[in-house]
Amino acid sequence: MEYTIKRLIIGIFIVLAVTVILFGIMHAMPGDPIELLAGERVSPERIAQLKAQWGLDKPMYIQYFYWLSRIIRGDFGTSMVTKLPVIELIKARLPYTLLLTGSALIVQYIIAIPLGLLAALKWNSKIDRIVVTLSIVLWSMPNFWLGVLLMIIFGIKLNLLPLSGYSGLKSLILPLLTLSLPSLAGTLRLTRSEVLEVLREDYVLTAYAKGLPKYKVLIKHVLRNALIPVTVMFFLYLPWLIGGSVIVETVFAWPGMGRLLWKSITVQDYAVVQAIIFIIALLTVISNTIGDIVSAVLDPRIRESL
Amino acid sequence: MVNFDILRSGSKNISFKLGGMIFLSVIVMAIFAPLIAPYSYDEMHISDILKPPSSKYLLGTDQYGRDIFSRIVYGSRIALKVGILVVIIETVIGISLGLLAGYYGGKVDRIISFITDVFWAMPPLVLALAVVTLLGPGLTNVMIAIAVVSWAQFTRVVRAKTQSLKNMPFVEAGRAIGESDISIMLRYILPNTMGAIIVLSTLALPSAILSTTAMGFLGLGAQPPTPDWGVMLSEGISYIGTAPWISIFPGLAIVYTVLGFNLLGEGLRDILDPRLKV
Amino acid sequence: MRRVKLMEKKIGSLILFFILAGAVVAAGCIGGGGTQTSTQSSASSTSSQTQKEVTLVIATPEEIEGTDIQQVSWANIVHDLIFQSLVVYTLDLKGVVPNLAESFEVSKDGTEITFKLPKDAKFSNGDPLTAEDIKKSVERYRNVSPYSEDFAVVDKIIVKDSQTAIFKLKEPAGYLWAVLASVYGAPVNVNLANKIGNEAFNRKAVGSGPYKVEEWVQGSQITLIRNPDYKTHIPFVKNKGPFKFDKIIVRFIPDDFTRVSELKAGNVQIVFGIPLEQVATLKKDPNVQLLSYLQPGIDYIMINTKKPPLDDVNIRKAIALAINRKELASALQNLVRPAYGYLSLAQVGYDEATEKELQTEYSYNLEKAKQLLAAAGWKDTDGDGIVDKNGKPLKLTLMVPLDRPVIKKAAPIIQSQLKKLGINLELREYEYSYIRKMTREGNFDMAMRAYWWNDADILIYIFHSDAGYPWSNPKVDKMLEEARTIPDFTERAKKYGEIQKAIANEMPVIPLFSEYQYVGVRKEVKGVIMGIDGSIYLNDAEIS
Repeated sequence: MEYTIKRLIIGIFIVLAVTVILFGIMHAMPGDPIELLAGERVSPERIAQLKAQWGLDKPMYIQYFYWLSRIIRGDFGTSMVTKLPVIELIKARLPYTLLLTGSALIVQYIIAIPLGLLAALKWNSKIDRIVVTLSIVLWSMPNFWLGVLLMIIFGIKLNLLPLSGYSGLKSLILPLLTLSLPSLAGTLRLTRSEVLEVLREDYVLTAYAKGLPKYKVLIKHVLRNALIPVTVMFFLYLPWLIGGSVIVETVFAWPGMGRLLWKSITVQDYAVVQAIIFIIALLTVISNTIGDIVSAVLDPRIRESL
Repeated sequence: MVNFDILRSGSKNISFKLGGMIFLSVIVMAIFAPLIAPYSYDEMHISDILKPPSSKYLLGTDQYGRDIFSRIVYGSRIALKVGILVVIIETVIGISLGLLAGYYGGKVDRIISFITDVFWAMPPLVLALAVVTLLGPGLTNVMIAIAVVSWAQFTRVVRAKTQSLKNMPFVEAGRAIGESDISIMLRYILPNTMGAIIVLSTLALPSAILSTTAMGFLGLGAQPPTPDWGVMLSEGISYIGTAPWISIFPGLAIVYTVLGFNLLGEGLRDILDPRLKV
Repeated sequence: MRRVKLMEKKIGSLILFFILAGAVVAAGCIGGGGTQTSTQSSASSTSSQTQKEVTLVIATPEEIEGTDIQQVSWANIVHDLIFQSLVVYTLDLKGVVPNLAESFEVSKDGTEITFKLPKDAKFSNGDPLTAEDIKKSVERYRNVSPYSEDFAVVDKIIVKDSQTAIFKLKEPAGYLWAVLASVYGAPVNVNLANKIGNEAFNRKAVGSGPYKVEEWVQGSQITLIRNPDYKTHIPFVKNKGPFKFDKIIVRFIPDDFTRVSELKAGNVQIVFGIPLEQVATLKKDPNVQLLSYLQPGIDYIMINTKKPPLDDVNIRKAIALAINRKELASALQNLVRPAYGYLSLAQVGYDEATEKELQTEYSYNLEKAKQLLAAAGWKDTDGDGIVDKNGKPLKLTLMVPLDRPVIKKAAPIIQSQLKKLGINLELREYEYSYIRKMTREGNFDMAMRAYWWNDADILIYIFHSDAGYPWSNPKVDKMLEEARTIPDFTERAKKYGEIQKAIANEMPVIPLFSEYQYVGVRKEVKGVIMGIDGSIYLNDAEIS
């Protein structure tokens, strides 16, 4: 318990550090957002006027304090580009990102874990080698290339699936595949190698020697221990659920958070970037802490070193 | 029934051999590029734009009339440079911090872990974009950005391993004879973490190449006329209807190279594996 | 061991629960929040105007900043559909005709413009539209818009009666038409804006255009429904009443490849922003017609005239002469029109004679360029292909906008062309707005830029000393100021001809070309009208 509290307090500092660093980078970036918003026909005076309107003429540390004091009260600020409250922008996009990343995560685990297990059990057989090769190839592909290929094959040539945008669950399929296939490979190989490692541990041999039925050994000992790193990795992935994937969202015109974050950085829409980073950092800290606790609980060896 | 005593050397060596061959072929391409490529990578033949593969242009020409084959050959230099440099930066930073944190523990560990966690908490592509926008365009800055984003994974792993190794008997022995801390870290601990480091490196190298490709797709890549495969790929996508060779071949080059590194990594890992089980 | 097993089971099921819960919540949010019409069904719906709802789907590359034309810094088709300007240019930009206004009159001395509104003019939400609203609209524009200075020349607006608004100008201003004829100058429902606040108004603005906002799904699309009270007085459209589509959906699809694929697949009927590379394929596609217009403006290279050696006008002219625009055009698949003057024919104020003169004087001449360099002391003394002077090679950097694809494409070609002249040109890619900022601060050698505005008045924002760029010339300043006050279209064009020649004489800016822009329209959509500056009129459009 004490450990958890300590971790969470440190976590708050981490979140602050992240926001400070990003704030600094954003404001140190060449160019400024008002200039970006203006067209050719705007005079330098008008630009200065607009700058003052948004409080950008104050020194950086004051701007940071304003932002901090507001976000603590739950005020996420206003987007300079759309003039809308940031919360609204986030609320509009978050469900779409969650849908995509959430289902990608599920699909990934549902396919990767059993396949990894299978490959490990049938180690060195034809199945194992096919699975491993396929996953290595998938992992080697640039994901936007994969996305475009899938779009061409299934969307255009075969005309089976919608190409872009959100139009019901059918439109989820192509972006889902593009997102999950490459990382599926990673999880699969991790599962496989962990299972292989565990399979050679003494206690497994002992279990077999004792005459326990194979599947019981599998589930009780092998899977449980092999899945520890996988489980920990899952918690590490959680924050990414919110951030979404910029590339997949761009290629498939998916109205998600990734694209919003990317665009906001390029046009230096400070409020949006700060708010989203803040949320992601917060979630990362929380899920990392949970992840550490989980792994400590599951693996006595780690517990010892704490 | 699984047989635990089968040595890995069997099929995994195929992976190592195949990966090694691919890796070597890319290196050869990079070193001997001027001899292999028929044209220079920035030579424009304006009258021959968007031509399909032919005897004159082995893999066709791009939208400026540049020979794609030559650009891919020279591009191997960029790919290798990127992959290797990024990984070197990552590993050097990551390993040293990890060693220090794991060995000394206490305040040092807390500070380093804090920094690591901070970087870990930032979404990678976002941080990379921010860094590149801050530093300015260009391949070097993209490499720095990617290294900045990914060193944390090395630190974590090395730190964990160091922690579990520092109380081992041979380390105690070293301390007893009065060896310096640095010597202990480098002579005893580091070699024993090599397995994990190699695994991570072999994953990080292709990952670095793919990340630069992604950055190229999003518009932050090498400046023209540098023949970066990722930039070639993303520029070629819009020509997929009329001139698909512009993006297909760089795409294949990327998959080929990354695949090679991955296979190499797989093989290395499995070869080293038995030795790790001390 | 047992305790761990139990814990692990619990955690495992907890994990599963979270994933499922998350997915359910997400699906629920989307299901409840948005009314997503499947775009595929609308594409296949034929014109059964009586029963089935006819929807037009349009795709643009960028999402709008907001729906309120007075709060955004750039406008697109969405704003064209929500708002209605008082007047519009004729399709050939040679004159102005009524749109919302029933008629208008310009006083003899050019300082008064009187607009007459129809008796029953309404905003799309039913509120009456009177001369008072016109006045309020301009006032709000001055307060709120980044382009507030557009109306600087308007001294005051007199509301003679509920249908008559008189604009009193400080001086005659031919360039004011550019604002009045564009969607920026269109009246907005200020009473409503004041009532619900600017933020809410930016989400769902109200004008008097052919459509009103039904729903804006952030990041995805905006759905517009027909305004049944819409009326126009534009002479060159047949249908002066409400449009023929019950709904128009504008989708934001940033990826070029995806956007064009949707057009080819028929899921989207009109697509803006057809990238260069796809033009050739689309021209051959039997289901697609390509409408094209020339960029109202030019792409150019701005030179830092304060930085040596570029402060020498002969060096600048040498560079201008070394650029082979014909080669550029052919490398860009002839989708650009070489420019030797500072205006394109899609702009008011363009003068064909001037363009021809400048072409004769400044078209590609590598020999002359080399001579100019040599006369200024630059020769290749060490045989490396690059000229040098006093031991220093001539190396320059060119800032290239990475978010302007055609300009970006031209850069490497210019690089190789200048290499032939003996100049080592280094390319640096940046965001366009950053480049604009750097040029203002004088922090550059050469930079590639562009302007888009259908009136020659844009030149004052580049070449006048008040614009803040390194180069200026008091004579040109005066000419630019004078040109603003000329009411007659032809006379104004002549003046701008003189201005262009004066500028070219010092070559602070090298014109490159104007880009042809393409809009993709499905064959089944008929009646789309486009002006030479790309203004689109969907009044007569329908799906056959």
